[in-house]
Amino acid sequence: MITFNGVTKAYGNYRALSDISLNIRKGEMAFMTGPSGAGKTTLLKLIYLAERPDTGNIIIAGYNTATLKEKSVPFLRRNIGVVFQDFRLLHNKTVYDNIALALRIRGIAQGEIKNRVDNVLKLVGLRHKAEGYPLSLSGGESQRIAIARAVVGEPTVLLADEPTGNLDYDNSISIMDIFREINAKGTTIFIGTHNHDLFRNTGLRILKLNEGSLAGEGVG
Amino acid sequence: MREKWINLLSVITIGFALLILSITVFTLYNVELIAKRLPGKFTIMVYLKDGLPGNEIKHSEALLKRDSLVKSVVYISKEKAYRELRHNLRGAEYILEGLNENPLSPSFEVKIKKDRFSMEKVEALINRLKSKPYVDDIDYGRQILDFVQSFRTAMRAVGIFFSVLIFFAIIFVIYTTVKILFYRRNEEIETYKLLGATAGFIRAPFLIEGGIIGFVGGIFGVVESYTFYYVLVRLAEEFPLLKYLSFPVNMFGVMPIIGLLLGLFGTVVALGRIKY
Repeated sequence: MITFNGVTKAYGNYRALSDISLNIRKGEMAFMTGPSGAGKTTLLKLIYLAERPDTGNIIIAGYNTATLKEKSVPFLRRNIGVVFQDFRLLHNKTVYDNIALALRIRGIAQGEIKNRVDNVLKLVGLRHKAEGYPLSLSGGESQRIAIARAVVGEPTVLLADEPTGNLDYDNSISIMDIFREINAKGTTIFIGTHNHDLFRNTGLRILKLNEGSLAGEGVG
Repeated sequence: MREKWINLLSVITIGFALLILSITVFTLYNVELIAKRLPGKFTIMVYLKDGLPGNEIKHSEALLKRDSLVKSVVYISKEKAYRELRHNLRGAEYILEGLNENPLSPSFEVKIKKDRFSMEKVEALINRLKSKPYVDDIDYGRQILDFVQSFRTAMRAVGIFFSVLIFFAIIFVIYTTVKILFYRRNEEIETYKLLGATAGFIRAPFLIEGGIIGFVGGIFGVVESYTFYYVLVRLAEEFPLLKYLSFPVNMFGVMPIIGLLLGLFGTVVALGRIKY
């Protein structure tokens, strides 16, 4: 589902990623770990095309990003749900509208939007917050809404960048439960985190990044 | 909230720009009207040589009437011209005392067809007439005509210049407004892009906003222009000369459309290419 072949990315003289080759299988849930500055966020950005590689190629859901035309980028992104580190919720819209936005962008009918938003709010346990605004939510609630928005479009791939970065233990466990439920429906999930508790004893694949290079692979 | 003030300011600016445009059109329209009315009043006086036999005068008159440019030809004999002069000099007839004979020439008063009027055609006719042996001299309001024509050309140039300037000014106002709104929503737009929004989806609300600003600015321009028109009508009661001026009221319906189109164009230019 996600394949990197010899991917390198630099910002000026700083090499964020060096010669990365990896493969995440369809329906797999995998983790990427490493200390801050290891290149986790950059690698995820390359997947959802917020950045382009300097060398190498990336294939996502059958699309080769090196040959993808700019006007096709939005359509690829609709196959990828992203839970951003800073949530990226729109403060001038209600929780409902934040989630519905992902469907409006896809041109989905109003009635269908209501059903799907209701379903994902139920999934993350925040139906009662539908009319609230992001600034009235706690960190854990914001994270759940960000997840709800990322999955409401039923993407084939879900990416999460430090999804429990600011959360306490209970909230982290609850977020992981949501990810497992989504993965059980067949969505490929790739999570970047430096929180080892998140993947300990999960039996899931872990890719280790260090200073922009793949430093090994293991099982949680 | 701040965006509302930016939009309101743009609407007011566009309204005033369109008011200037309507005054420009009003001025041009009236200059054109005056220029069009002028040929109806235009007369060529063809003075004939003294002592021409009657049949030659009749023959020349008939030839002149056949000219496609000529609307009418009236023969004014020496005697009639003298009578008219005396009539015009009522109270000062002594000026003519001491003249042993009638010094005036017989003439043709030639009027030109309004729909065929052009300076070039009139001059060609005058040149043709000058070459005729029976013609002594020709008099026509060349200086006035030249002045009106030059004024008309100059006004057209000034009008076009102002119109283009105002169009650019409106586009610039919309461009700046949309740029400000776009940068203020930059974070939001980035999120839209990351969620898979197409360029069209991102542009649509800005196009609607730019179009509405232009359209409402156009309506504001209509209100201002109507106020100007109303003031002019009231002033005409005091200054009768103003009654001769016409206001092209049809323009009122077009102004919101002009505002809308310029609004859309300015927005398209401001947004440019949406990059991913």
